[in-house]
Amino acid sequence: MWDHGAPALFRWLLAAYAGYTVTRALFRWVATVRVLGIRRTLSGARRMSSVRYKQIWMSDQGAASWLPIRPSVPVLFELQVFAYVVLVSWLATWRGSTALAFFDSAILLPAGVLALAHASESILPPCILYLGVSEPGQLKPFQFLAGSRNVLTVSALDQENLDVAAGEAAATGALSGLLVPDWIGRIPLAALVPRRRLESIRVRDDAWEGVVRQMIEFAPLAVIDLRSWSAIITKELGWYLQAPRAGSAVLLTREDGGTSLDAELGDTAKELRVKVSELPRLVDELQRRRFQPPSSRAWPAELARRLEAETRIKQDLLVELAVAEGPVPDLDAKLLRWAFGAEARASLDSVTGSIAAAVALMRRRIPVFSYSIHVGGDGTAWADIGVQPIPKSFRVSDSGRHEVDHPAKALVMSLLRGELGLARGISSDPSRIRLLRKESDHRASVGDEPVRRRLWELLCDLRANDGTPDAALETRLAAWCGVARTSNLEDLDPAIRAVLSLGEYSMAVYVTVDGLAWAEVAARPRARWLVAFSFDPPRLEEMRPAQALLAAALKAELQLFDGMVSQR
Amino acid sequence: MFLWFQAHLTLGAFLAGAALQLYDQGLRRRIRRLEGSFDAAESEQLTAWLSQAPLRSSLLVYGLLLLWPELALRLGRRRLRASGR
Repeated sequence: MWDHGAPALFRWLLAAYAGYTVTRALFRWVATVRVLGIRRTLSGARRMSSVRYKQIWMSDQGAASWLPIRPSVPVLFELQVFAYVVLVSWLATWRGSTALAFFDSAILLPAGVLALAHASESILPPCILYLGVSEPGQLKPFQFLAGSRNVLTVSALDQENLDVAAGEAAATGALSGLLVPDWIGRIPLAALVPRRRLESIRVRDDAWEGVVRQMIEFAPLAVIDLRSWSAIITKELGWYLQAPRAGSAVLLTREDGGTSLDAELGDTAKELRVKVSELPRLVDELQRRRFQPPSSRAWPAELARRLEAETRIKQDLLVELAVAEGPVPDLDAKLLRWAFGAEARASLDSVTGSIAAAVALMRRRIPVFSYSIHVGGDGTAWADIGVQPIPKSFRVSDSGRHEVDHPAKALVMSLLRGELGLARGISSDPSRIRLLRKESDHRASVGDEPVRRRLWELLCDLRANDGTPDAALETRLAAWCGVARTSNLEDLDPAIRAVLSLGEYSMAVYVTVDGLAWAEVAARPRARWLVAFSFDPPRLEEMRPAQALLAAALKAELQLFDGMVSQR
Repeated sequence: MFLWFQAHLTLGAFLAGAALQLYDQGLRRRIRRLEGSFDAAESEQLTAWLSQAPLRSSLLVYGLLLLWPELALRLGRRRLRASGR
């Protein structure tokens, strides 16, 4: 019998894999039963199988997958593999008469045990539910929870998205380096080799709410990551509060104790907040107590309503900003009330008409951020802001598809959209601009014409200014472009107006977290946009915002362009 | 005798797989013991290694399945030859 069956190496590999999987399944079931008890484990398995069958076909699965049913779907996936083996054997042996003869006892026994253990793991009920946003910084604690214990931790984070899983490169240890080379972690294997992700409860968008609500009701512990802005998390926290039988919860905060919902939460549930560095110890402690909370939940009844109301306020402000024309005092007052509450500052009277006021308002909500402002030739603007609430998670939120009539409005809209959870993980990409030459040495192309000479000297003096008031420079700048308050080279409003008055320029200013900036001004003399930077490539030099913008405008006026871009 | 030998080798392979799983379990315990420092280099490395376990399994399974047509072809030929057809 043996010499007619499958080759020995194949049998041994299969047997070893069966041993590995059966042992893992045993560990997992024992750990789960110890936490949940037998009855709850069985009811959880039933719920979990319904979740898994909702995952059969997912849109994010690679089109090239040759086994269409996902590996986390119990029984059907194993049947699919069996069908594949039979079909291939039948095709390979021409007439098919000997196809089933391969399945002798030496293969069938380990294969059957393996399939059973594999399918049983797919319906393992979860003990920890991680509610978070799909971004690299949040994936890390989740992976820690999922990887360090045998009880199942589930989440709907998009782990197959390479932007999110950036930190999930193959391990770099000696052993793993031998077995899994680094490049395997970087190629999108998911398209060809759908990997089983028991820890994922991602389903189609229309089924997502039902599944998350079901898991909130079932899982004895919910870890709610409140470190990043997210509309999804706000919603999920609301569902948690509404669930009558929800288990314990831990609210994950940043290292400084802050959360994205500080305004909404106030002093609520202080005892449930935990810094991310304290999470492992706490989860271990809770697991020893079978995730029974130390005390009953202390959620105020109106918190769910408060969360919804705050979201509505932000949405209303966003709409009002989008349709407002010119500075609107009523809207200013509303924005100040929203950001500063009772201590609204009278000095910030025109948030919709002043970039400085808008930035001051934003600082109240998020202390550290970078931003960029883009203004078209017609004066309309859009903006984006970048924050890094969690190390490794850089989030960018923009002001939306439609330009508004003032950059200050665009900035506040970016903030609101970010807080509503519409932030993304990518940023403006200056590399879209093709440099005209590697090194810029503009001095030679200025020429001897007196007007150009004077502008060039103004540009050199402007760049050299280190912030000390310079009356002569101010006078020359005023004579050139009419900027009245040149002594304050941080105030962007007059500088933008001045550049718009010079000609049909569009511009962008990129301001870093420490308030320094670089700028680009683009003109369109022919079919393509020519771009002048405030610095001379390749050395990126940062200045005060208005100083950078005026420097770039001076270069554009002198036609000293550094780059070219086909679209703006 | 040959059959007995083969059966024990298969059982040995099964136990070797189980031993590998026990090794992984040890790694899980080690990560838990590094509590409070889950972003420390060692913990991160172990977590990354364990989080790749399903990928390694998948590669093994899909590798075996990819090999299957070749295996089936060879075995089919051998059987056809053995049956004298």
